[in-house]
Amino acid sequence: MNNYLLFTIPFFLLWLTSRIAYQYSMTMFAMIKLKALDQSLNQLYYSFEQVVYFYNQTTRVKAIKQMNRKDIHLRYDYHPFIFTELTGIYIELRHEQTLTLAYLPIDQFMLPYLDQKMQENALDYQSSKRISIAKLFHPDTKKKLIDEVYNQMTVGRYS
Amino acid sequence: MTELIKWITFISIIALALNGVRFFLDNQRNRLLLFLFFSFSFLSFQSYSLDEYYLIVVLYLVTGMYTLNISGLIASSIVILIQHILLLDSSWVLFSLFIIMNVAIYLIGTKALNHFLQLREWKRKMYHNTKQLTIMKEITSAIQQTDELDRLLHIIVTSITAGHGLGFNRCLVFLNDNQTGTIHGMMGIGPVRGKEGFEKWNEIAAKKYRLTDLLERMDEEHIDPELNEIVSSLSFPLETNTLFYQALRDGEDRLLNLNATNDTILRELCDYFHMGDVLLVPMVYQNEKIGILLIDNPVTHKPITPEEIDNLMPLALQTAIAIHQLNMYQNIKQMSVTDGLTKLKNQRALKDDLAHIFSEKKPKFGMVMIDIDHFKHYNDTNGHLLGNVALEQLAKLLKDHISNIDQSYRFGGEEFSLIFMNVTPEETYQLAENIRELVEQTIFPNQELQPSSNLTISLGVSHTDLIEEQSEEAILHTSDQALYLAKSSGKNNTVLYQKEALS
Repeated sequence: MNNYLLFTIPFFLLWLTSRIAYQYSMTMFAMIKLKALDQSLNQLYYSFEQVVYFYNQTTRVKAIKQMNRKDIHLRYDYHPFIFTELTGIYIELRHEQTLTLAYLPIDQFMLPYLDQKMQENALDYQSSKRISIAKLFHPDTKKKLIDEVYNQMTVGRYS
Repeated sequence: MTELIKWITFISIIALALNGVRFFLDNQRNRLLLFLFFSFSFLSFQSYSLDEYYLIVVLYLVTGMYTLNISGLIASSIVILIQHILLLDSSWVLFSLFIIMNVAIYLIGTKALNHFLQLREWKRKMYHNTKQLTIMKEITSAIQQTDELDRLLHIIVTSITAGHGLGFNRCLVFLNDNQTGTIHGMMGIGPVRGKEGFEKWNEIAAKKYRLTDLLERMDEEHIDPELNEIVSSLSFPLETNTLFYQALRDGEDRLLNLNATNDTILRELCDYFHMGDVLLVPMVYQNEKIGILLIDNPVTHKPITPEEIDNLMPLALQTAIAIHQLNMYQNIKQMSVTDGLTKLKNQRALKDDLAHIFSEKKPKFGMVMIDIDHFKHYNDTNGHLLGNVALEQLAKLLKDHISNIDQSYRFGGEEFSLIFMNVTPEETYQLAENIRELVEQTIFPNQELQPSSNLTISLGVSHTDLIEEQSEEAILHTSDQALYLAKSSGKNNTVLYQKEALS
């Protein structure tokens, strides 16, 4: 085997494990910070108010009108390569074709508790952002986000 | 080969360890750490067959550029040069190639970075525009479903303050009254003091309220009662030296720091609401000064950006148009049920009101039909203009002598109607008789020229207790019958309808 390829193994390893390491680091960071604030990730209230929808309940797209909840998936939008950073979440319908239903930019994911702590100078912006990201990685948040988008698409906002 | 595997294993362990810690650091430190890792990997790589070495040099330069941009490229170049000088023979050809490689990596790296930043900017713009479009679509849809001013204003202020909408912390609405030259506080959403905002926001986040939930809450409970109590009590004369007036005149928004303003209205608002930076948005449509939106962020203290103002302006215009159309609709609606001369409700309104009252369970009310005695003679003697004056005077007298829950109408010509709610037949008769006496005692212009030297009225009284069929037709018919009897039995008289004998 050519050595040219072999010596790149550590760098590929660095790249391929960066997302999982990033998720783990964000969660750990959030747990440590929140513990210091006598708070926990599970208890943080959040809002999906800033999700932007590319379709609505009145759409004529057949795939969306007939969609099932189980066909809705999240796709994390990362800063590419090794400097992994979550920038948002695509909410997609994956059935016969893939349709992007909605998008939530991470900067707009709102947790009132974190804003309040930033106001009180108990938390800086970067820490607040990392905790928001950790909250988005939380399985319950992911499920709720899918539920939210499914409800908006099937029931509608002004129904 | 064994050396290489050892190196790969060693560097891989470092890479994994690095991934375990570097995301705890901020972005700059993370990049620096990775640059050091790449530098260490480069320097520790022991196989110096030339083709391998040159490839690694190129990769090292690329990683330098990738991690720390131009600083990384320069630093990696210095490391390579030092190593080259120490370990290898110098060559101008190689040095020239090295410089060319640096320039090429810099140019390609910069281009790639710009491209990436541009893509990110496009994504950001697409997000904002899509959101703006969605908000406008939803607000337009909500506005179209209402013909009430309060509901319309509630939709607007909720849309401006809710996270689903524009996400400002607080919005106050003031509407201009052109007739009195004053501007009135109408409605607001947001905290009076900044700290309360977090509690409310937490509640909204905890209960997962959507925009529709927030809009519906208006029906269940009054939103922000303390704020609205203050806002609705506010009224300012719209003087030309005030910023409210100037904004309405030129239609331009203003981003102000209230601590640095001497404007009388804004100073007062600052005292009430502890305002700092505030955005004043005029609502103007076709030169009609509709009102002012006052927006600020007392909770998060986020500065209001030009982009946010751009997003807000179409909403302000939409609001101005909606209020303008609503005013027009209300005026037309009002005109369709109002008598133009006396300003009393007209016959159409009477029939609508009767239909509404009879739709309720067990309605109880008295109805009075009034006719001016010898009014043709009054008109023929004094002219129709004075006849109109007498009609207006009588209408005012009727309106002034009934309670808030009772109603007065001009039935047509010289005929008027009254509805007295929740009274007995006898009480209705007495109220009607009081009015007859009052009219008899009132001086109307040229009334001495009337046959009885006085302008008088005849009244027919009916009541829901006195009619068998509970219907609009029955109550109108019976009170008209009683009026006929009052007229035929000498005028200036009140008659209470009774099925068998009219008294």
